[in-house]
Amino acid sequence: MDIMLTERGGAHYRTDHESNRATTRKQAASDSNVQSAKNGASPFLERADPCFSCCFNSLLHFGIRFVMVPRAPASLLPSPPLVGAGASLPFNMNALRHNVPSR
Amino acid sequence: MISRDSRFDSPIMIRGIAADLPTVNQVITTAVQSWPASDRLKRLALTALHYTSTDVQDFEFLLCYKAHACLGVAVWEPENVSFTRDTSSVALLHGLYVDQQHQQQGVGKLLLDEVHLRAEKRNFSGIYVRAERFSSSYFEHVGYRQLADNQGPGASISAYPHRFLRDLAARHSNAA
Repeated sequence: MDIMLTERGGAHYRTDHESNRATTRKQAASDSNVQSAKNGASPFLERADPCFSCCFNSLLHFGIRFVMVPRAPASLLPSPPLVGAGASLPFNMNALRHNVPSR
Repeated sequence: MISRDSRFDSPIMIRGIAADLPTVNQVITTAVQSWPASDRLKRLALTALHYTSTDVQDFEFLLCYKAHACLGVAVWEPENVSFTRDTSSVALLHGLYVDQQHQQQGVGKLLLDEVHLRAEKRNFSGIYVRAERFSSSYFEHVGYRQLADNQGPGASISAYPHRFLRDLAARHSNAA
């Protein structure tokens, strides 16, 4: 069985393996029919075709791209907007400035 | 016979900005919907799990896209040196989320592989994660091992129970 492994863990089957697929799938289906007759389970869920699933996965991963948001030190982040003097705040800013208890 | 195909090497990497964070939070929102928890618990969890622009100070975000759809997100801490093991340091994987519609398709593994690669480049010897209880089997499946109470970062008598570590050196020995 020839498999080309990708760097990222996906897999792609070679074309010469394609010819075996039909036989493998047919046999898997017939085997699983026997199996399912024994235990009543679904034949197609019971015996997944590995060749099909690998091709399916490589198709799924085709066209994948990553976007990386790098870590940015606090100094590079935009500073929050400044609050002007006299703006309505839920506490007494002057009291904080002069370190006196607010009334 | 197993061979490698260079056509599939690295997915394209694009540099993002903090403005991508709403997309990150959107993926987290959909991913959490698959949790085996009550709606109320999911709602409460989301307020804590969503990231803000200040989180960019600590974390690096990796978004996995296909066409215009963001399929998953990995968040890790590339500069954390508080976790040390022997003479080397261990990086923290802070979050791994896959959109509910794209789960069980290998997206999480793609993201993890990229995080492992980036951590290795920064000379981290391992990746550490505090997983959700129901994610434990996933992390075991992708090669992480569960830490005992007295092992690894955060070890204590009352350590968080679902702590996992992936040895990045083991990654090389598996590949060889």
